[in-house]
Amino acid sequence: MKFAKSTFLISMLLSGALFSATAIASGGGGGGGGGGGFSSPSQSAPSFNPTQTYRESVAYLQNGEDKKAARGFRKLAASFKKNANFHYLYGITQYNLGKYKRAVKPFKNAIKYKDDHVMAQGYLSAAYQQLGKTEEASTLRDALVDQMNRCSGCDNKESLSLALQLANGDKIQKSAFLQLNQNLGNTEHGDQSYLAAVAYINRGEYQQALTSLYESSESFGIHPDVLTYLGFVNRKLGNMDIALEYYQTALSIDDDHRGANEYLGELYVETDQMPLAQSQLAKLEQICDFGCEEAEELKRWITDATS
Amino acid sequence: MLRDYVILTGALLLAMPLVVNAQSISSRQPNEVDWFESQSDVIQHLNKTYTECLNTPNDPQVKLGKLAFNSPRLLGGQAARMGLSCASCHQSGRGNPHFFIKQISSTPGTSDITHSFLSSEGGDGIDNPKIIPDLIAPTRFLKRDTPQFEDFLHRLIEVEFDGRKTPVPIFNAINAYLQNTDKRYCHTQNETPNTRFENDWGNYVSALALLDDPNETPEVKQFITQSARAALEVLYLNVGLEPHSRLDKQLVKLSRQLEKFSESDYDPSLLKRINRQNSKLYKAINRILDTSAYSQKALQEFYVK
Repeated sequence: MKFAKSTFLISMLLSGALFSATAIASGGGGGGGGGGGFSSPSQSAPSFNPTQTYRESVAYLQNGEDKKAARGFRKLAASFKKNANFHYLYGITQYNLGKYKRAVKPFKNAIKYKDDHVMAQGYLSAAYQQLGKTEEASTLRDALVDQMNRCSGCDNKESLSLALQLANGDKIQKSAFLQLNQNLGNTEHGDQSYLAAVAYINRGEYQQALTSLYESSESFGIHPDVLTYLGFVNRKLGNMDIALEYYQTALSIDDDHRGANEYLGELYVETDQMPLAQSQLAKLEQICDFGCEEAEELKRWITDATS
Repeated sequence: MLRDYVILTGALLLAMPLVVNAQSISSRQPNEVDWFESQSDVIQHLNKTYTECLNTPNDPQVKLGKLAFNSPRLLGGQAARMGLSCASCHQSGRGNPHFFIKQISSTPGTSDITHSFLSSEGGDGIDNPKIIPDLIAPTRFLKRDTPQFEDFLHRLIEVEFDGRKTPVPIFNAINAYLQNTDKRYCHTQNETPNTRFENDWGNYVSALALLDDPNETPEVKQFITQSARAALEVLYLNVGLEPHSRLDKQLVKLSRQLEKFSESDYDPSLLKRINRQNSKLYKAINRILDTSAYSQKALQEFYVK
């Protein structure tokens, strides 16, 4: 069996939704990397480990332990407010527990941050039905029917079909749900997508890289490496604000993340914020006790930009 | 034009389903662990090295070539970020039947160096890992003493492994090291146990000795300094199965002194001070060798407990 030296097992759901740059730690932007960086321990100590929380919550959900799963997903959704799937998964736990009223908000949030999240639409429609809100339920169901009618060879036909079952008041089998969400915690799938993304990035095929990163995130979710790549790709696509947010989120999880620190520095070079780029370089030089490629590369960027 | 590289840090961690052991949080493991296929391979082979087959190992140019061959600072992109050097695939200028990185290897001892995972320009889009050759064997398709071989080497470093333009003296030194490597000069068995520490220590002190050469240009000295720090990191990672705070601090301090050495325009007195600390460091590492990744027994206990 393959192994690695880090104890930082990746897992988290991302699915294309942008993370909030705020606060997995109480200090917001402190970070859980520990050891080094510029933040004090009280700022940098994370209140929880999102990676581990996600992994555990997925396992609870898959085992039908919705109450336990709910605790983790609620915390994740609160910490990463723009992550549609954390809201969605929290909503599912509430729905499964029969707490339909409590399920409404997370499903709404999931749709807010990912407006084509058809499963959230289906579940929300079903929750409205349970609450006797037939008008809201019908509106959502009609929208799903409309999507299905327009879906000729579309990618999400399977999701749409399940979502419609829910919206029609049918129960869906757990096996069907698990089949649809088979990438949850599927490291093999996540590996393949991630490695494909790296190769796409190296070839400059950034749109394909994004697709692969989102796919990888369905298996692994939030991890500073994934976030850093998402930042990198967005930067290459000219989405500087989004890139910045991804880098900052990566650093909020691991303040000493070399790649995120380097690429953030490069973003500052590209946006002509040289003092900030210098500051990133100083931080990298502090992190890398024995020198590192990331610092050397950023140094070259700064030198080239200022010469 | 600036070239962009993508991160490697953690890429392998993503690629490798993780078996979490009973190791303490503060423990460290050598980078090589990332390119073994299994724990048993690490236990069996990490503390061994291959016999080096050099004609004139004490030739300064060959020594510089050997340093560059062992230095992750020669390469760029993913390789440099994960600490790969030429020697990762060609230990002691030989081969490496244990090398395995999921995305570029099909079986241990194979590698697809034209995979886009490693290269921003050299990817050929074909998944075709090849057996990593033992460099003491005669090259069938390309003679080493030809301009074509130099072109091949440039492409290998600067395209396949995303390295920057190699300074001419460094490139010539690597070429000299490879020309010097031949099976005619091997007299002992291939893989020798308990030799890794001396090998890694040798890389570090050899770098310091090369720094002492007043004829080397600042560009070359900068490369040697970076390589010396990288060699210190190898020692640091290997002694870290169990925390040794004093030794750890000593290694970090030496690296920071080397950083200053570069900043102070290669002040010889500072190099002397660094060198003076080495005999103590050597003894200190030797004292804890049995609990480090240089010990097969320690590796066994680390992974199996």
